[in-house]
Amino acid sequence: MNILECNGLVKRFGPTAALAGVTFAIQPGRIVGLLGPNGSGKTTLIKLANGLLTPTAGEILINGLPPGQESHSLVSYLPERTSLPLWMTVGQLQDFYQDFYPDFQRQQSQEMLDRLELGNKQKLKHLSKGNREKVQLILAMSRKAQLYLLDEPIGGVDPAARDYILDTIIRNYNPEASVIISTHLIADVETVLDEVLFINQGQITLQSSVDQIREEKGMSVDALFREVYRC
Amino acid sequence: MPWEFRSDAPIYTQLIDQLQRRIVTGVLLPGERLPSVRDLAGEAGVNPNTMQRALTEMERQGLVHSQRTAGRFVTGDAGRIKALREDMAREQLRGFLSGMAQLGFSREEITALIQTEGENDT
Amino acid sequence: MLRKLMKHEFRATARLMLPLYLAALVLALLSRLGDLATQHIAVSGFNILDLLYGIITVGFAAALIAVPVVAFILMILRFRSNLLADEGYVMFTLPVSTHQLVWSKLLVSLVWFVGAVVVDALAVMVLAADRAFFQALGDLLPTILNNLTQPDQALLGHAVGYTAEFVLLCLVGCILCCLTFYTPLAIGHSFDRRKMLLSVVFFFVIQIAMEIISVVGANLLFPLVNDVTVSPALSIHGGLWGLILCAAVFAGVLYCITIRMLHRHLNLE
Repeated sequence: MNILECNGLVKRFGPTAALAGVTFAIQPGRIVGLLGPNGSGKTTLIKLANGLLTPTAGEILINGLPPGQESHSLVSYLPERTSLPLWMTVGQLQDFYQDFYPDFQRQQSQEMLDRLELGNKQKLKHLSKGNREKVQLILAMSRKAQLYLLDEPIGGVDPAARDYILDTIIRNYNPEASVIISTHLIADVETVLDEVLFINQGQITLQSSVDQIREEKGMSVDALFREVYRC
Repeated sequence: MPWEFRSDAPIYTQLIDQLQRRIVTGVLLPGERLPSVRDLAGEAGVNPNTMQRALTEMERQGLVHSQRTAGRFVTGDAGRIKALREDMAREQLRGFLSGMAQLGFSREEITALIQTEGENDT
Repeated sequence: MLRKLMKHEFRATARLMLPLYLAALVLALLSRLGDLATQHIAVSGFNILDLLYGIITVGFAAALIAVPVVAFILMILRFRSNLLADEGYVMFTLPVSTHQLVWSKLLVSLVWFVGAVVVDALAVMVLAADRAFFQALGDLLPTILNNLTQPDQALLGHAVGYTAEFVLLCLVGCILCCLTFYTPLAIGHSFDRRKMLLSVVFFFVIQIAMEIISVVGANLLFPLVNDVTVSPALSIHGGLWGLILCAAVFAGVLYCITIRMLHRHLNLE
């Protein structure tokens, strides 16, 4: 069973098509890069997978199910923007995740938060922007989900934070699950990926394994991407 | 020893290369227990599946071996490590020689150059 | 899951509502004390106690008004900020249904509304209840008890019925009130731009539509019921049930629109 599958997926906003007929499948146990320039349809695709948008045509399936209440319990989602309620404390946020997600590993998240020296009594609104993003990542990665959908997890962060984020993803994801990382910063994530999906103007232009690209083309995914899109 | 990756070769072959280097130079000692795949991958900043693939290849080469419950270990076979060291030296040498050949040096010139460089060093 | 949603909704709103309830009651108590003090301590002219008493009285009046007003504003703000702004990313990806999300908001708002009525009533009682009040209450209780133990069955039945119908009407009315704000917010926020402006526009559109439907509906229905002759007591029941039914139908329609908008046309920024 494919953990994520799209068949002729179309999403229009008025006259413009954000996704113009996307078909692909992701198998379990992979870390996949959803790579494309800004405005290529990455976020739209991830929102569709989370049921935050409804397809105009075609279908998107999570473990064979259309997005909804049931699929939400399989998917751990890291939105592009920090969307946790700011008035909540770090401890309350963990309560919240524990209440709604049976697969949430409280001990694991607590250890990671302790390592950042964030106390459970601290309110999210009193944390720095960087630490808020880390808290959100820690909560998302502390679930034993089947699919992790991470939208631009390393957008606009410094190299140390980037290493922390990628390290947190690698060390904590459920190995039977798949991870989808959307980004336009390919060089930064390339080594952690199994597979890449190139998306441009709402269409998937390439699906391949990273080492296959390096073996066959003798260049990095980043270099290939630059060649394909000349951006 | 930092992990660095070139962009023109598959990542798993570069991982094998760098792990071999760590064994030969003694950063990883003979018989030493390796960290888990996930921790090694985290440390190197690579995909755990890619790290697994590299380690499987090194198992096939007899450089590491895994025990079902205890984990994965560097080989304790000193002979095997010595052979690896020589293989790597030969590879270095081949690269060096082909580079020198491109510059138009003959074997004799190269030998002479090494001699004089060696004297200057000491 | 509805229970858990409500638990977290209470957590989010109680940090504002509980202190406010408490403030209203404390200010009522202080006003009462101040009242007693000014009665018993002979004062001549202006002094600091007078000023303090004045401030407390104004504060009490403000708290009395603030309790229902804040509960009302919070009802609107929570729906918007928790579901239609950034927090919507978290809420709509929880393993819960859209129905449960909306009901958790409705029920928690309802609890705060009822609480506001109770707190304001208590506060006024704390301030105003004197010996005469308790005497009147003391006189009333035996009468009520008497009526309950040796009832005039028909009268008691009507009294209980009216009370129940009135309470039900208030509850359905509160739900309808919430939905007259939820629906336009849900519609307005499905657009890409000017979400708030469009929400306000749709609020008035819905108000006018409800007004027109009520008037037309009443004109169509009255001739039908006019010819039916019943006792006055029964016609009051009929009237109350009519109102409850009307409110429930409006609420039902608005609820369906809200759910549909949130389910099919969610458009988070």
